[in-house]
Amino acid sequence: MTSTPTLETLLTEAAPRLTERVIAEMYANAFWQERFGDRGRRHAGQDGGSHVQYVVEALVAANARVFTEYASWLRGVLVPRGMCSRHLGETFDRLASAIGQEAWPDRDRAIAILRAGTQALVHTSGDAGAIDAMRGSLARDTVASLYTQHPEWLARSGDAGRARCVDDLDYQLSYLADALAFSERERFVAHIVFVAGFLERRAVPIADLRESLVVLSNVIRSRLPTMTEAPFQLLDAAHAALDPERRGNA
Amino acid sequence: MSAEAEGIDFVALTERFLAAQLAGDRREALRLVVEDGIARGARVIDLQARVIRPAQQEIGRLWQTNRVSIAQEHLATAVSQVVMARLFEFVSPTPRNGVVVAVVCVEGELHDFPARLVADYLDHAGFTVRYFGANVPTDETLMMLKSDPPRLLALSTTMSFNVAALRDTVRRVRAEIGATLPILIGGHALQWSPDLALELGVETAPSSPDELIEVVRQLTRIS
Repeated sequence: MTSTPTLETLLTEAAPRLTERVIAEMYANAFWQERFGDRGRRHAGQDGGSHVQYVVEALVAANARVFTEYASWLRGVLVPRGMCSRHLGETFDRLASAIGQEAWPDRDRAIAILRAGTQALVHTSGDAGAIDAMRGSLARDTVASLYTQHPEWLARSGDAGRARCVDDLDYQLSYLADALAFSERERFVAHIVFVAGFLERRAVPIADLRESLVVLSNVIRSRLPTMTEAPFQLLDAAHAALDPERRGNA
Repeated sequence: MSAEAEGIDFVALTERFLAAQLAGDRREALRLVVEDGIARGARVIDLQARVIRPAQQEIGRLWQTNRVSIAQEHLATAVSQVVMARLFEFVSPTPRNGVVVAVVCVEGELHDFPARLVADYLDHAGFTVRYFGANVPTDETLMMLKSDPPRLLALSTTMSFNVAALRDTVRRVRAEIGATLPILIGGHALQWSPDLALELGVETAPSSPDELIEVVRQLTRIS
């Protein structure tokens, strides 16, 4: 009689397949290849194996802390290398969804650990915490303001374009919160400069991104009046880095 | 004379040591610990615990935050390894206490620096240390314990995904060697799994050298 494999065994055996699926979903978005290239893809593969290993260890220890500590540590590695907290949380969520598709009776135990990992990535204090707590509404308010000023944008790219714009701003806010939490000013500016090029290659004018930074700054100031000047200084620095004259001289 | 009496600033010394490490300058790193440490009355164990160890931790932090590359991290660690080896010459002769301890990194564990520090601390305190280094296959650990049993086994685990190997090693030692061999576990993995020692029925290695030595003395019943 063969014994039923444990969830830990099933996860370990399925790790390469689960990781491949998660990476394929990530790289369906051109951002990943353009920003991190083949090297980033190789690292994502290695990291995917580690994610599963840490989930397994958390299951064996019956303690999600093993995974949440790993999630926080890994964010400390990945943010200085150009990712944001939301990216890492999405990776855990994709892995959880992939596990959810498996016919494993107790798969929810693994999913709960991954969800705890995503939750551990939410900033909870300071300016970063305030931004993370309101990220979605700050992004929506900013886009609402932008689309009021530019009704032609809706005609140009429709509701789908508007939804992409909200999503993009939500990412910028995750980068902003990380930059504040980890004092990564230069990397935030470098990220915005990369986004400008990414959008430009898709015929989105840099002026639109610059304007969105100004409106975002105004929205944050009105919605979060107790914020320090730090986020505004970061947004100003990013805005200045996109100045056509500076870019022309770069 | 104690290091404090000589006014050694260990924080400043660590910063200079770190700079030498990052420059890959083994001679300067060694000169610092010898001329600014040993020659001014510092104990080797203090230089290991208060200069080399925090410098290594800072190197790890610099890698994490993308301030140094993996190659630079390895270069810096190699400097520490050379200095650690040379510092052996400066250890005050300690009477051997005749107690043999084995220090092992569990199977798969490639980070051997913490285990090496533990081995050195215990050696300096008079123990006869068998230091086996990184990634020791569990089968080999068991064979060693059977053929030439130590009075204590210290197991080092840095990465949490090697905790499975730690569990397996402890389980097999208990099954094949018995319940009486004292086992000490240590390493970064314990920070994320603080209940591990309780779960496995073993002892946790303190990070302070003096406390570590005291715990090993108690476990091996020497005082």
